[in-house]
Amino acid sequence: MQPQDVMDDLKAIRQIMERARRASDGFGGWFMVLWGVIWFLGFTGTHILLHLQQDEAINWLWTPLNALGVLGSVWLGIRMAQRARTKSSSLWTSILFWWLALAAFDGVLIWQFRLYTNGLHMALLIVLTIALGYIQFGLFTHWSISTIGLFLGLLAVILATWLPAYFNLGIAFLGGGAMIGGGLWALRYGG
Amino acid sequence: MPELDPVIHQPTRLRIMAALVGLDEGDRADFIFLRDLLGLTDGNLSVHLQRLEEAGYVRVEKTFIGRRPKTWVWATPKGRAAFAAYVDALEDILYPQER
Repeated sequence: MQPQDVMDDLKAIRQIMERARRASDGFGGWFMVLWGVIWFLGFTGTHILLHLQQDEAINWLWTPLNALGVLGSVWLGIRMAQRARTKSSSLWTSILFWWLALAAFDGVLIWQFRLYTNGLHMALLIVLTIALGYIQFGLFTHWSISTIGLFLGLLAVILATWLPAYFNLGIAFLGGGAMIGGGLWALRYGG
Repeated sequence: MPELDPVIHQPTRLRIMAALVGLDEGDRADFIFLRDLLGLTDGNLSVHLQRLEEAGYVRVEKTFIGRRPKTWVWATPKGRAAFAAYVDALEDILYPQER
């Protein structure tokens, strides 16, 4: 074999290994893009509805968006499990139940501490719980997911403390944007 | 010049092994996933998988999910070791003094 042929072979090997890794685990990126879009729509809508003093309509906005997110996540999970049985794809049902457990935990806190009387506190709790979920998930998968979780948590605290009037808008654009950007990054570079 | 494993040296089999070794140890790939990833036909992939399975480099498991057949493929420890040795041999050709 000529050195050039060897170099071509080694390059091809590296490319295929990378493509296989990315194609099998790249679904994590789609989850983040999906929820990033939902956050963007939901929090932007919440900001507008609060300005229009249509507080009751906020529930009607979030119910279909969350349902869309859960159904989309289940669909992505099924597709992931069908393509390659990797560590993350075989764990997707556990991951789904873990998020449901976090949601139930939030539900209990909101009910017990009557956080539903204060929209900002309720939203802050939900965003912080999701940020914690991302941080934990990233510890077992890829550091970039933990970084996004950390960013979401800090962003939520900063906005709620110093810019409460822009909390929803900030989470929509910066939080949702970070999730979409992080998801696209994971799809491009593997994560 | 170092000896190159003739089973892995065949270009299609080399790509199959690279894809399977690219997954984490213990991970399995669906036949369709592998076929699409490498741009092969069903027949071509089957023939080369059979050759790799005979050498003990991959395992092929046919199952059913509901009524649909499903074929899982993964690299065995022997296959991973053979692939690593093959890559080492290529690097030996490229950088003989450094090894």
